[in-house]
Amino acid sequence: MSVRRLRGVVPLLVVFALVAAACNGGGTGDGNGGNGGNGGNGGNGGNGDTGNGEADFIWFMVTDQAGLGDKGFNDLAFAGVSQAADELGGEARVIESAEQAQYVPNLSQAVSSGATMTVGVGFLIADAVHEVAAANPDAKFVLIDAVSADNAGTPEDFSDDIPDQNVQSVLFKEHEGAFLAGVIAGMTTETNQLGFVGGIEIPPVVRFLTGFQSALETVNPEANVEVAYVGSFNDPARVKEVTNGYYDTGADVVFEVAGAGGLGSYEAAKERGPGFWVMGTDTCKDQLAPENFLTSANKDVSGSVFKAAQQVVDGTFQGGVVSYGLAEDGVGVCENTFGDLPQEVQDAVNLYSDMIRSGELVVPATLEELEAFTPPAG
Amino acid sequence: MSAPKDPGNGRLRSAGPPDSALLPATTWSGRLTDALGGPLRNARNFALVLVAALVAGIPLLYAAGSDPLNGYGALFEGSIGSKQALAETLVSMMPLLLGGLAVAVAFQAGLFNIGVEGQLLMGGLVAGTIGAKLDLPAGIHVLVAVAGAMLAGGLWALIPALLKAFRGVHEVITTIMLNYVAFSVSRYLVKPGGLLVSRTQPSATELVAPSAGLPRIWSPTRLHAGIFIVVVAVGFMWYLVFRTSLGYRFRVVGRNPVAARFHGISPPRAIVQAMLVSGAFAGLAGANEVLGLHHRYFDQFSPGYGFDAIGVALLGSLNPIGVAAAAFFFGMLRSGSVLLQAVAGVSRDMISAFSGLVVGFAAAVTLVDRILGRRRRMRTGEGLPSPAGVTTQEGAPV
Amino acid sequence: MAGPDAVQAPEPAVRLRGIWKTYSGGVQANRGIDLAVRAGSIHGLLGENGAGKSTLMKVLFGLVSPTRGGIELSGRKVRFGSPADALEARVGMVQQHFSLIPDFTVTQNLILGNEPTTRFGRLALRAAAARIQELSDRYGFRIDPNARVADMSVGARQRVEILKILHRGAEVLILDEPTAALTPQESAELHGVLRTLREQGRTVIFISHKLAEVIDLCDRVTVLRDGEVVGEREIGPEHRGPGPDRDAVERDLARMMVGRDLPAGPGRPHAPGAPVLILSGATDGGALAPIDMEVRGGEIVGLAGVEGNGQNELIELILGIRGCASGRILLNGTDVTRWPVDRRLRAGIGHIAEDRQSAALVMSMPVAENALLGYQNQPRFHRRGRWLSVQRIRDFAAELVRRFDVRTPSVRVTASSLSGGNQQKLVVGRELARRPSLIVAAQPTRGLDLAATSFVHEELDELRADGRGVLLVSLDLTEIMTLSDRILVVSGGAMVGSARPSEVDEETLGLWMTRGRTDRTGSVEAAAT
Repeated sequence: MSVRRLRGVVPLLVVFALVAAACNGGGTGDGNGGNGGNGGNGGNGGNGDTGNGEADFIWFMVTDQAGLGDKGFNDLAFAGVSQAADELGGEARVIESAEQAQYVPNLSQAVSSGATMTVGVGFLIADAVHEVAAANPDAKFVLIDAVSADNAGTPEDFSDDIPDQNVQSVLFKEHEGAFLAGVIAGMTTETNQLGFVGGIEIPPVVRFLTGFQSALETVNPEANVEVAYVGSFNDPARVKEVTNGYYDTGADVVFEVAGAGGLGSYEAAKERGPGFWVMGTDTCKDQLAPENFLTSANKDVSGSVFKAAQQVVDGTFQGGVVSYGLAEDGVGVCENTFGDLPQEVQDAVNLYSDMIRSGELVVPATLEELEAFTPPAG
Repeated sequence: MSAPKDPGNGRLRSAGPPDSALLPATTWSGRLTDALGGPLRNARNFALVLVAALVAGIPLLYAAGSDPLNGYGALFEGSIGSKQALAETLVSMMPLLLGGLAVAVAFQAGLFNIGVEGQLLMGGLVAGTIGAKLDLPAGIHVLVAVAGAMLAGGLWALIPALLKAFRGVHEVITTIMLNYVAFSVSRYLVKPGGLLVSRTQPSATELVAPSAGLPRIWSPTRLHAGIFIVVVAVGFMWYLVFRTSLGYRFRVVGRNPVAARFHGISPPRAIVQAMLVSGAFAGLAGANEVLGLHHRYFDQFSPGYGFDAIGVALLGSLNPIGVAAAAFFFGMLRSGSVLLQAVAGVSRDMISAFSGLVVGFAAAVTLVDRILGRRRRMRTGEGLPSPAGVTTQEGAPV
Repeated sequence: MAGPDAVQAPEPAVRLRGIWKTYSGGVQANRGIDLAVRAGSIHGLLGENGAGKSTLMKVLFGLVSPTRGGIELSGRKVRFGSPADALEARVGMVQQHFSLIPDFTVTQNLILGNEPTTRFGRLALRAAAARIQELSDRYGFRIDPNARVADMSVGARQRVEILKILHRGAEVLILDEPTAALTPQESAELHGVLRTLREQGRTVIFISHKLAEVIDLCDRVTVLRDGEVVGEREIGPEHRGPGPDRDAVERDLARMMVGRDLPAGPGRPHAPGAPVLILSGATDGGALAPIDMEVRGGEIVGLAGVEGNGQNELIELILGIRGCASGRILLNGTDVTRWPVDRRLRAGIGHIAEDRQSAALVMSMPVAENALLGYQNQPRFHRRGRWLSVQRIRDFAAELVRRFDVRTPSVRVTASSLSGGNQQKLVVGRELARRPSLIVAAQPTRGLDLAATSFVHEELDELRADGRGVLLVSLDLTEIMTLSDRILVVSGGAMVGSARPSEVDEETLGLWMTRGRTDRTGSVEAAAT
C-alpha cells in the first residue's frame, strides 16, 4: 500500500512542476506569448517517462465534442497523430473536449504540456485555435477543414483576414474526389435516379455535392439527383429515413456526406440487399455494407496530419492555408473496391483524374461555380 | 337549492380549500424546499456530499487507470492551483451559477423550471445577434445586449408560466417541450444559409462587436467582466428571495399556495413573476457566455448548462449563496478535468460520472436527512409528522 | 359498568407506572405519571394542550419511548419500540389526523399493510369485506365496507378509523380527541359506538378537553396538568343527568384542568352599530344560492351548518378568493365586489381560517415570516420602499407572541414546531393585529383546549365590544349558542334560517341544518330587527 502511495506522489510532483511551469509561462507571457512555449518545454523535460528514448516529441490532439471513437474526423486525425508517434518518435496524446468553452483551455493545456504540434479538427474549434495560436506564436498547430485567421478584416468578408502563420490550416478539395466518385456513380446507376444526403450545409459538404453533380453532368446527363440535409452530423435515424425515401422513389445510388450519421445509409442499403448502392465520404467504409458499398470520396485527414508532423521534424512546417487536392494525393476514391469496378469505369476514372491533375478540368467548388460548369468534351 | 337528505353526506362540490384542484395544499416542490433545512445544516450537508463524492470517486479513478492521489492532485492543481486554473474555474462556474440561480428561484415558487437550457440558448442567441448586428456606443451596446438576452429568456419562460398559471399545464412538460423548440429555432437561424449565420463560421453568428463584448479583466487569463455580473446576481437574488415582498410571495406560494391565496397573494401572478425572473437569469447566463467567452453565439455552445444547473441548485439548497458554492465546485470539476486528462490520462467521461455522483449524493443527503430527522424525533419523542405532514408538539411548552 | 363479576382483584387492562418523558431541550412532558385503566371501561384523559396527554398516549402506543417508567398490560410488563409492537399487544390508537386513503374503499383501507390473499395470491377482498361488515354490525358502526372513504362524512371516517384498529385486533383503544371535528349528531353516534365497545368488553381511553362529553361518556376521568396527574374522578350515573351533582363535578374537573376557576361565559346586551358587511344576492354562481346577509359592528353573527354545506364557499366569497357571479358585497358601505383579496384584507377583513395548517400558516416557515402573512405589502415592514425589514418583522412577531402568549422558544423556529394551540394563537393574534372591522372566524377553537378556547372567545368578545363585526362559522352549536348575538343557518349552500340564541335550542338548529327550515323557503332575510 505504501509503495503504491509513493508511486502516486511522483506523478503528483510532476503535475506540480508542470503547472508551475505553465503558470510562470502564462504569468509573464503578457504581450510576450513566446514564454508560454518555453514554459511548455520545461514541462516537456519533466515528462521523461514516455519511454521513447529517440525523441521527445509530443504529438497532441484536442478533439471536438464528439470525442474519440466518433468513427469520423476525430478518429482520423488521431490516426495521423499516432502514426507520427510511431514513425517519427515521441508520444501521441489527446484531450477530449466536453464543451465549446473548453477548447481554449484544452489547447492551452496542450501547449503548456510541451506539445510539438497540436491538432484540432472542425470549424467549431477555429476561433479557439486562433486565440491560443496568437497567444503562443512559437507553438505549432494544425487545423483541419477550417481556417484559423485573425478576423481583423472587414466584417462579413473573410478574404482579407490574415491566416495565422503558426497554424497550418488544412483544406481539402473534396470536390475533386467527389467528381471521381460521381463518375463511378453516373456509370453505375441503372435507374438514373440518385440521392445525396448531407449533414449540415457547410462548405466542405457543399464541395462534395458540387463535385458529385458536375461529374454526373459530365458522364451521365440523364441522371437526376435529389439533395437533402438532415441538419446534423450525428443523426443516423434521419439519414436512414432519407436514404430509404430515395430508394423508395427509384434511386439506386445514395451519396452520404452525413458524418457519423452516415451509418444510417448503410443500414438502409443492407436491409434491401444487392442493387442498392451507397457511396461514402472521408474513408473506405466497405466493411459497413460490403454488398452495397460502391465507392467513397476520400479525404486523407490522417495523412495530412502526418505530413504536417513530418514537416515539423524536417523543419519545413509552414503556416497558413494549405489545400490538398488530387494532385497532392489528398483526396481520391476508395482504393479497396476500385479493382472490382468494370474496366470501362476504371478507365474513365483514370482519364478524369489525369485531366484534373493536369488542370485541364476544373471541378466546381461552390454552387455558383456549378451553375457555370460546362462538361468537358470527351 | 334543496337541502341534502343525508346530513353526514351533505357535502358540496367544494368543501376543501378554495380551488384546490389547481394548487394542492402541499406541492411536491414545497415538500422539497421544506426538506431543505437551515443554512448550518445545509453547509454541513454540502460538505458531506463533497466528501462522499470524493471517496466514491476513488474507485472511478482506479477504473479509469489512474492513481487516485495523482488524479485528485491534478484535479485540484488544474482548478485552483494557479492563476490560470482559478480563472478557468471561475469561467466554468459562471454559466452554472447563473443557471443555478434561475432554477433555484423557480423552485422557491414551487416551479420546476427544466427549461433553463432553452431560455439560456435564446438569451445567448439574442445577445450574440445584438452584439453582432447593432452598432451602438461601447457600454450601451453591452447593456442592450444583456438586457435583450434577459428579456428573451424571460419571454421564453413566460409561455410555460402563463400555461401553468391560467391553464394548470404542468411546467415540467411545457418547459421541456420549449427546450426542443429553442434547439430548433437556434439551429434554424444559424445553420448554413440561416438568417443569422456567420460567413466564416457555420452554425454560429458573426463575432460580436468589441463594444458589446465583456472585456477580460485578469490578463492573460480568460476571466472576463462577467464575473462582476455574477457577483451582483448572487447578491441580487439573495435579497430578492429573502428580503423583498416579491421573494416572500414566491416562497409562500411555493410552500403553501392555499395560505397564499387567503392572504392576498395570487399564486398565478407569483408563478408568472417567478418564471420571468428565472427565465431572465437563464438568459443572462447565455449572454454572459456569448459576450464574455465565445464572442459569438455558437449553436452548440451549451453542453447542457441549464440541466447541470438543476444539480447546482439542489446541491446549493436553493439558497443563492449555496448555489454559488455549488457552482464553484462544479466549475472546479470542469476546469480541473483538463489537467486530469492531460497528465493523468483520465477521460472526460470520468468527470461527467463524477458530477453525476455529486448530484446523486446531494439528492441522497436530503433524503437521508429526512429519514434521520424522523428517527431522531422518534427517539426524542418530539412531535412526529402526522399523516397530514404536521408536527404536533404537545407537552413541549418552552 | 364492565367487569362486575370479576372475582379475584382484576389487573387493570393498562397500567402506566411512573412515566417520565423529557424531550431533547429539557422539556418535561410527563413527570412521573401513574395511570390505571380498568378493563372494559371508558377512561377519560382530560387536560389542556401541553398537559402531556398526547405524549402519554404516544408512550403507550409505542410512538415515543419514555425516559423512565414502565407499561403493564393486564399485569404483564411490556416494552413497545413501535406502534407495530403495540398493535401486536392489542393496543391501538386513533390519532387526531386521519390516516385513511380517500380514494380507497373502507375494506381496502382496513387491510392495507396486512392484505389477506387467497391460496393463489389474489387479494381476498370479498372475504375481508364480509369480515368488516360483520365487525361493523356487531358494534353498530353503520359502515359500508365497499364505500369509498372520499365519499364519507367526517363522522363516518372517524368510525372507520376506529374500525381499522378493531380489525387489527385491538382490545385497548386510544382515541385522541375524536369528536373535535364532529357535529353534535355525529358525536352522539360515536358515543353510542364506544358504549357498545365497552359492553363487549373492550377498553377505551378517551382523550378530550370537552368536559361535557367526558362526563357523559366516561366511567373514570384522569386529569393531567403540566405533565402530572392532578386528580381522578369516578363518574357515575348520578353525574350524567343535569343537576347539582353534574355541575359540581364539572366545576371540579375544570378547576383541575386549568388550575383556576374559569370566567363565566359572555353575557351582554346586544347593541349593534352600522353594518360592516352586507351581501345582497351575492353568489358564486355555483355552490351558493344568492345570499342576503349582513354583519353589523358590535355583534357576533354565528353561522351554523353541517360541514360542507357552503360555509367555505361563503367565506371565500367574502374574502374575494371566490369570484362573485352576481349580487353585491359591501364592506363598511364600500362596494368591494370586484376587489382582490389583498385589497379587501387591507380594507379591514381579518380571517381566522378553519384549517390553520393549510390555509393560515406556512408550516415550514419561521414564526416571524408567518406573522408577516397578509402584511407582506404593508410599508411598515419595508425599508427604503423595497426591502423587507427583518428587524421590524421579528419585532412584530415577538409582540404577537408576547401579547397572545404564543409559547415558542423564538420567532425563528418554524410554525410546525409549535403546538396546535399555539399555532392558533399565532393566527388569531396576527389577524386581530390588523384591527379589522370584520373578522371571519371559521372554527376558531377547533382542536383547542379549554384555556385556549376561552382565550379565543374572549378575544372575539373584545372585538365585539370594540364595535367590530364578527362572523363566527362553527360546527360546535354550543359555541355558536354561547357567543352569538344572532344565528344564521346554512344548508345546501343557501341561508335557511335566522334566529336569536334565546329563541332556539340546539335541536331546532340541528333540524334546520339537516333538513332546511320547513316554515320558510328560499333565502332568509337575516338582518336583525
